[in-house]
Amino acid sequence: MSQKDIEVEKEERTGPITWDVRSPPAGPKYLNPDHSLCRGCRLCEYYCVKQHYGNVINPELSRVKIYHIYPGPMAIPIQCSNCADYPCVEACPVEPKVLYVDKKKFVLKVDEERCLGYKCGKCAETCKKLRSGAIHFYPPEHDYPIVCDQCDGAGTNGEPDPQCAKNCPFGVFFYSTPKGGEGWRHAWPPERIAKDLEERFKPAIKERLAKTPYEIEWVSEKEETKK
Amino acid sequence: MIGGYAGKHLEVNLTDGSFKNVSLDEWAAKTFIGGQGYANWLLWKMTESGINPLGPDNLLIVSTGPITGLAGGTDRGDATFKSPLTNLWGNSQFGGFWCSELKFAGYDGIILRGRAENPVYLSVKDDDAEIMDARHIWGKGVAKTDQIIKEEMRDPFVKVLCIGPAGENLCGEASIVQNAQHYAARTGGGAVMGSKKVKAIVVRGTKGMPPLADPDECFRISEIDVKTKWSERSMHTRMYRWLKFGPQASHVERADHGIGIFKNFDEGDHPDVPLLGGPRQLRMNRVRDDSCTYCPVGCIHTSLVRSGPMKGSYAAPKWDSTANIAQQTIMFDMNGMIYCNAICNDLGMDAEGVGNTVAWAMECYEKGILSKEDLDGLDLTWGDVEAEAKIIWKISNREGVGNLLADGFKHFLPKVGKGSEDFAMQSKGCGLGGYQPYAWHTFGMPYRWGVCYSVNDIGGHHNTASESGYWSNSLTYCTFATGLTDKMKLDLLNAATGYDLKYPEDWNNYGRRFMMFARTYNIREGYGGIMPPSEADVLPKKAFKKFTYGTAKGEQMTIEDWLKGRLQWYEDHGCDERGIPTKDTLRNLKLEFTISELEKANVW
Repeated sequence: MSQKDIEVEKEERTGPITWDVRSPPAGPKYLNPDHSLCRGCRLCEYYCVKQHYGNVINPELSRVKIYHIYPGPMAIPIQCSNCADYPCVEACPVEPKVLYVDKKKFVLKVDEERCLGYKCGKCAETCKKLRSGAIHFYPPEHDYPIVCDQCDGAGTNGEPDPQCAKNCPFGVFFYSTPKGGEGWRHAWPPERIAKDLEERFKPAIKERLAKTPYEIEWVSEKEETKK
Repeated sequence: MIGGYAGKHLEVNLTDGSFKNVSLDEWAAKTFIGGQGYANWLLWKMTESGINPLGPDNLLIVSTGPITGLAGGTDRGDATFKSPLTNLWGNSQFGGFWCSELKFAGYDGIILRGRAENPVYLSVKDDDAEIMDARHIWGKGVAKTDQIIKEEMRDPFVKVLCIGPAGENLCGEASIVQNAQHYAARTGGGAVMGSKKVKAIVVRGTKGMPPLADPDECFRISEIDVKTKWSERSMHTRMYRWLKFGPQASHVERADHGIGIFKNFDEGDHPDVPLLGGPRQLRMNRVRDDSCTYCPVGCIHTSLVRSGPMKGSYAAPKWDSTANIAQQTIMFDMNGMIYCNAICNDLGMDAEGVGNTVAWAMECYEKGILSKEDLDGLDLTWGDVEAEAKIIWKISNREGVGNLLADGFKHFLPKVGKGSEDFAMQSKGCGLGGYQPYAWHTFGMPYRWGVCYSVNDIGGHHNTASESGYWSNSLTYCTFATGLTDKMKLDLLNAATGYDLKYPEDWNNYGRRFMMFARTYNIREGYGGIMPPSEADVLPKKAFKKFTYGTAKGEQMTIEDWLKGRLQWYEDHGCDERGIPTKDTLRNLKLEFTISELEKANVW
């Protein structure tokens, strides 16, 4: 599939078409979570850090982050959703860009050496403002955008092999066709996703106690049989 | 420094608002490991004997273990304090995300001392600790509190450990809550926190896991844990049932074994029990599941009442809470069970303990010991959802009769009297768990449940009277969702810390040490005013009844059986017939330092 075909496909698709990560199709594909399946166990964070930094436990270094937010608390996995227009890349002030897209593999890559660090932070700022906020820094040791590269190089032939998807016990992560912008659920901030989940899984979970026992109109069995 | 430990506890004096770092004692870390064991040592060392549990001298120690944050099921915290419910050693565990976050912030635990003047919450962000004003969240339910604090901190990754209105009202059975769904419920930790006027402890840690002795080995073992839990291997275990149906699946099984606790422990079996079963809950009420850090089991089954008057409330009921709240009061109403759990959850109440209290009150009402006027006009008949919900609400908020019942069995039984203590299913003031006392222990212990209930150091709890239980709480590792065998847990500890502990001898010795140390603490505290221990290690009369119905028909534990079992337990654990550990036992278990204090108390 050529780049032109992808552009055509981007326009034609109206919603994300998803495939199981275990049998991904050829061509451009991006990793995205089905938020409704997540149980918040954070194993994706565990394996993400392990893949990128070896035997280290520190969720701050993870490219995927689990938010426990309300209503709920619901667990919402947030990672780079590979927006088609890449506002983060555009925001990068360095030339050539520190953040760039590997057009062959369709993964976002970071040139760690040349990055200006968290003091610049334009990419993270832009992502937070426009999309899900999936970029963060971990100064001083890792002072560059920590952002999902789909574990590029982890596969047997050096291809991307996302460890979060491979090791998720609940099958949260799927491949989907590239599509960006406002209509795309995966690029939403976690608060909006939580709200969307709440609406889709009606009756809505809002308050722990909908009514106190003294607010409920109890109908006793005796009265019911009388009627 | 030993691997796995963050190396310091944060001591907060709320009276003057000062902070102090208490560095890890290497001898104690090697002797008591962490979590429950280490916290108990701190409690022993840092408090005087005979303090008031709700006074400023009491400590609330929330601590983690050396392997916390390392594998699935290790994100367990331990709350240790002197219990207002039993006046003895108070202890409870919780899961969630808080404990690993605390470790990543660079602390092994937090020690709360003193009492704040106005409601406060404590915020710990790596090395910065701060006491914040909490007057605006005082009185709010736990879910609301959690939400408000997360919004106020402007950080979605902070982890909140808080109490609900029950803790603020100093109810004897108030719980401490993490992420609004993980509860350290037993023995009234919430009341201790409430007495210190601390609404919440908020933690954010970014430092990552402290250095480990052998990281490769740690990762190898923790991956075995993960893969066992989410593969077919888990199907061979009890865990699978939890994973699929939740703890409610145990209702039918327990009834089939004749060890249910129906009608305030009257019967071991009941024909209507499938109405409370796991598959029914899955279809009727389940919304989604939740996990703790790195654990793929997801045993927290959030369930919603979808119809009827209680519509819209939700809870994540667990086994013991549903056993005591539904089985014990024979409320065969799935929605009612979830609603009553939701009240307990949101108000921060121990559903297990309050279920015991309600069942006792129902039996009192049936026998005429408590009249309708005594109960503020509530028609507290068996299985009445409305009455049960209302009385739980009253107890948690200390309204009317609830003010009396909120203190716990030990405090209200002498006031009610009239023979009601014969069917108050408690030991040392703490309500019994969800198993009939006559039944034999199901987790490989050669004692009856009744023996375990009575000798237990925190009272009638069901789970901690074994070496494995104490080990789990000290490591800290989940008691239920375990992908590792006991030996592998010890291997993981060795890999993390560089210790050289052997299975099974060290496992048994250390477990015995933790257990006897808790008992020693209780003896130092005068066993809640009843000495020797054998006079407090008792069960109510009803525990010795003969069963007449269903699978439990003909079963009975006579007083002689029970006494024999208890004596056996004392002997097995190196205690004399009065339940006091001998000096030799204490010396063998490296607990010599306790001997002088016990001699002062004149126990031998």
